[in-house]
Amino acid sequence: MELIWLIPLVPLAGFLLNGLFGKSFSKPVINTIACGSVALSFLLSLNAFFGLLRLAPESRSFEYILFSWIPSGSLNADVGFLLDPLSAVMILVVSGVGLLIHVYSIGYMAHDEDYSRFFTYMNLFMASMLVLVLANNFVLMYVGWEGVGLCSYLLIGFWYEKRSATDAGKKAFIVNRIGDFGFALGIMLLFWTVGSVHFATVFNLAPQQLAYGGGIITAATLLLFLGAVGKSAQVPLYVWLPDAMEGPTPVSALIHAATMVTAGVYMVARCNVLYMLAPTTLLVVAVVGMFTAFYAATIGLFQNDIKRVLAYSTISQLGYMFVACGVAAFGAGIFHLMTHAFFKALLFLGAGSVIHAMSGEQDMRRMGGLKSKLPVTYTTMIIATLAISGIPLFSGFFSKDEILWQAFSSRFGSPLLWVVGLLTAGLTAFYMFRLIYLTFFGQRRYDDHAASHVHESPRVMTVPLIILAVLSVIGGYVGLPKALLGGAWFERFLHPVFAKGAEIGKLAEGAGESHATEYVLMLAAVAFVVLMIFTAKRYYLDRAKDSEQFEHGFGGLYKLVYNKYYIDELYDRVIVNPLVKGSNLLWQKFDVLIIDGFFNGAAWLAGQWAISMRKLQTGMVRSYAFVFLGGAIFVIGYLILSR
Amino acid sequence: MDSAIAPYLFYLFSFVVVVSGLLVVTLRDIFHCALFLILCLFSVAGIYVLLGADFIAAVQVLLYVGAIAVLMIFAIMLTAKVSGIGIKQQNEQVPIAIITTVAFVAIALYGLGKTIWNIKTDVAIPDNTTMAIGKLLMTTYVVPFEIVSVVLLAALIGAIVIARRN
Amino acid sequence: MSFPNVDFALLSPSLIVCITALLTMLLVPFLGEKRQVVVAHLSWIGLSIALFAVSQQIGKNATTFGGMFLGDDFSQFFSGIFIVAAMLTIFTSIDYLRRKENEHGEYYPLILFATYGMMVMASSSNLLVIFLGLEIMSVSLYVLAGFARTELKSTEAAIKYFLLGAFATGFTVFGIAFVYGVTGTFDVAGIINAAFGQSNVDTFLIIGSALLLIGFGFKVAAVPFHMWAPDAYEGAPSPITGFMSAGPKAAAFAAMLRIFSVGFGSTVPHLQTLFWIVAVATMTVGNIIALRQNNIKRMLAFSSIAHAGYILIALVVGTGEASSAAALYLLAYALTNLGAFMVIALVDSGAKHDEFTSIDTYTGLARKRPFLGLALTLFMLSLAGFPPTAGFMGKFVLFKAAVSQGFYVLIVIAVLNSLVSVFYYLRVVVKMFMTEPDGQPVEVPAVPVFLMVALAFAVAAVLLIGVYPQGWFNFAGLSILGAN
Repeated sequence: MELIWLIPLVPLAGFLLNGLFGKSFSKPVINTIACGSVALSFLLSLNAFFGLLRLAPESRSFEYILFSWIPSGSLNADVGFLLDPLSAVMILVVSGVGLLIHVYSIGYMAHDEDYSRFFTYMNLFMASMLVLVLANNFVLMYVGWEGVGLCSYLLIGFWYEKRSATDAGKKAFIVNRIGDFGFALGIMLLFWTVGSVHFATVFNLAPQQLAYGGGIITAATLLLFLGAVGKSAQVPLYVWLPDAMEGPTPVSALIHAATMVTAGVYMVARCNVLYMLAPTTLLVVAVVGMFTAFYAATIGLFQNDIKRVLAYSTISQLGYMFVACGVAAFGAGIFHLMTHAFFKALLFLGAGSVIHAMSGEQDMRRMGGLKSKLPVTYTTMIIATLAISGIPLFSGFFSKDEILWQAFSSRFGSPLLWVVGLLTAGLTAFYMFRLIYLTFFGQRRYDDHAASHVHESPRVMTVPLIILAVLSVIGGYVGLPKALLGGAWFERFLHPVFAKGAEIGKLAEGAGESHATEYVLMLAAVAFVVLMIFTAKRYYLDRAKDSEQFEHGFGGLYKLVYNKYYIDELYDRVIVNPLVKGSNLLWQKFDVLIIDGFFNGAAWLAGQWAISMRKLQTGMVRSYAFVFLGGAIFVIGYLILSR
Repeated sequence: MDSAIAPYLFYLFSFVVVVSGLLVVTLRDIFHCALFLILCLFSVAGIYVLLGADFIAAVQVLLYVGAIAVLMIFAIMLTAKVSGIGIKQQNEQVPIAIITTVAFVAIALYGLGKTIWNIKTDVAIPDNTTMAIGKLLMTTYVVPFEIVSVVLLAALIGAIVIARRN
Repeated sequence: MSFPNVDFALLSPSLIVCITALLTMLLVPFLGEKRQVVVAHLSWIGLSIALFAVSQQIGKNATTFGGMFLGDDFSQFFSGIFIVAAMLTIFTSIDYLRRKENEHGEYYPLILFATYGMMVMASSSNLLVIFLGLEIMSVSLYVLAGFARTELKSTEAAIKYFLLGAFATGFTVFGIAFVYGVTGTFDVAGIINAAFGQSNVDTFLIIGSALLLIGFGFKVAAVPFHMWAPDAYEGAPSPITGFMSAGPKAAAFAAMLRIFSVGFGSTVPHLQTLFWIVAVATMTVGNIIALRQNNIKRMLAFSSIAHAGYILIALVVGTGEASSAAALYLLAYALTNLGAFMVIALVDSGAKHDEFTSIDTYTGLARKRPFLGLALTLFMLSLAGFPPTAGFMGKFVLFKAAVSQGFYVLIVIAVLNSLVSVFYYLRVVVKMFMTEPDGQPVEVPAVPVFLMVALAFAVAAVLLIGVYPQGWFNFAGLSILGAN
């Protein structure tokens, strides 16, 4: 466990190697460095995880301070790493899924000219993300937070010749700035009131120093949550994520599905003590999460771009995780984070495999009938779809069910949350199966030219798919709930991290409704999901010809949803355009008139001064000495006259 | 020194210092300027004597009057055709210079007016300051004394570097 | 009346530097014109021995010569800065002088003498000794600034620097004389003892401290005593410009910290407010004028003025934390600026006589010489105060020390100023990376071995302090404790 500091450092070394010398390396060397470094951090993470397991549950927290970083006075931030059950899960997910996606990228990016640049950015991302989840204080976490943001920006705009890609990168960057601003303010507010940025210290002192539900803690947690809203693409700052699909698909899988976007959830879970102190914020978190989950799911219903469907699905699933956090079921949130990382990464990689096979086509209306052409991709994607839809025995079922149950039964939950959650689950099942039917079933809807290229992806891409498919199935069993004769091992493992928060929130373990209620709710959810799957089957498989008619049958609603509620247009009109116009105005009026005027005026004044003082300019040294003497008189005069 | 005439001598020397100083910066013949500089420095030495600082007075005469002023005159004589030519001793900065000077004098006078003079009368002035200074230089002030030699050495090298033929 | 006890170990660093200077000076006439470079090598070897000697004296905090010479950690910290600055300057100069066909061995002893003078300045709290150190340093620098005698600009720089410097020296001497007249001592601690707690502060003490402020203000190029700096920086040979901005500035601030931070600050009323005004004026004037410079040396001269303004904040605040922050700042600034001038000297030495110092010279440099471009970019970022560079850490600890004492307005002004400064530092970077040279690009010579070593050292140091400031800050902090 003493080696945890190496976990982020190894990919950083990979980044430096490939970044400095990548141009002169051959592809196998680049692969070895990039994937090898991530594999090494995965092994180190495993080692750390098992090291942690050997300890007694109460003492599973280990800090390693690499060196003191900002030492001055009261602000003490170290480059220090914290290993506890929460960060252990996170590093395993990040490095494990990251490794699979790195390997997959070898195949996916094989023909790209900027091969080394891609892996350089990817390794930098891994390093930043691992710093983010391993940091033992807010400042270092913020460094990781900004680091992943930077990598996200670089990778979205990876194909920078494409205007839309650079625009999307910029959009992600700017929207995230809003969130990061809140995050930074939140950290400052905490530092100001609690006097530390060190996690353990803050979480120890905050309950003593800040009133329960008081204004300060509510403001601080809301500001932190603003950061999470930006990074994890929640309403209203979600608009960057769908556009982020402009990046290469492995990037979408790694950054915009499995890891970076879950950083907000991780941060809220990490700060569970603070959030438990602020019930108002918890309510805000739950409502924002639920609204986002439902809202994004409706947009996902009728999108035609395969990656965009997945993007909205990601936003929706992230909403679920926030619902879990908002009802103080942080363990359930992290559980869903993990299973979601598996099946969503798989979905994206599968979609990437499809796009790869279709020579870059992303519109599902021009796919269809790929089932037999891409057997591995098809099978694995079916598994992932079953998982995300919450079909029993697949991982997503356990985690989603846990969240729904907590939303219903928790002290902070309500039946209303459960109802909306259930609706969302149904919508999810619908659009996911719509995706499957449009892509893999039915008539071939692409031209012969494309057909000649269709092929299953190489081994280096399918093997990660298969591994992820296995994980998507079995990943849920670590958290098998008690109601299904499991031991809820996952939540017990995480419990030490959330114990203090639970204490504050007066959450009694095992309290709540009987198992009977749980079974009823579970059954209702499954039934509704299956119903929605059959609806999808009816309109997109059995009566595929009428599907368009079916969609248009919703009339205005369809248009509204299809156009994503016109939110981008709204933002453009209400925020962006006025800003652009305003800055244009500033540029034209303020800059040209005032700033330039100031400088021109200053130049004019200087000229005038020069003319009137020409007598002073006979000899340079003389005038220097004169200014000197004037200053001397000022200094002496000031001191004497003001005594 | 007889204390009865000392004040008169002080005013006499001060008057000479000020007048000769003014002449140094106003006369147009640089040779005359140098001569008045010697007079000025000499009068300063007189004030030192009045203050009982006989060693300083001697050094003043030896170094400034004897060495430096003579060096200046040599420099003027050796530099072709500098002496005898009327050089310009003032420029367009005169009005500004006057304002600056007046401001400085005003502030100085104000400060002096506010000053409570801390006159110590019980300080014994040693009869032979030369001996006392010599001892101090070799004991208490040996560090500065040694460092001064480095200052001079650095200046010497600097002068050689600048004056060297390329 | 006995000869004071002398602790030669304590004196060893400065003695070694002085003796090296004397020996190399004696050697110069015996070396042929072709072998003047031997002097350079002997000089840096002597300096490295002196650096070792400094490291041996850390933590002793002793005095010798009856308190005239202090060997506390404060002086060791600054001696370290001076010696490193001198070594880096020598490394930069070897090839520079050869290319400029100005290889005269006296150059190196003069650098050593200047270094010795700075070490004397930082190693005493006796006004007389500080003044003598100042003079050794200044006299050597006047000559070094004019070392390129065939260049009109260099001679002009030397003359201006010398005339105004002599003018400023007058103020310093008068200040010391007044202070001595009031308190009867040259020692800073003695001065405070004599003056502290007096209900009516003596007018002459006030005038004395004002005159000292003016004299030292000239040496650090504080507004309005800064007028010499741009001309002197522009005209002096490039390695000397780097040296001037690193060593003498740190030395003058070391003396100021000793004299004002623990001395007059508490005894003379309104001195703090005066420093406030001077600091704000210095950083603002420096930054604003730097915006419009087209010569990189001149731009860095104004930048150096602006940095003096930031460091003056430490004198406004006057706490131990601020002083150690200033010490760290000076270290960071010295290393950064020396590094920047290494690149500038290299580019400059591409021309035999006239100088390649216009910012336009740097157009497209990074494309042809990426490592040089990256190095200069790093130094510019450090000067502008971007993390994770030394410059950021210096600003951070300094501003924090001021904020903790409630100087909010001052820090807001300082931060706004650093924002302004970003513009002209990044202008160089933009020129190097983003623009294509029109016409014939300037031929930049290959990096010689010694310069390579020095450049690598500067880059590593700037990054190291930026990433790991703890150790340095502790040392600087300890050294200030030693000085109090």
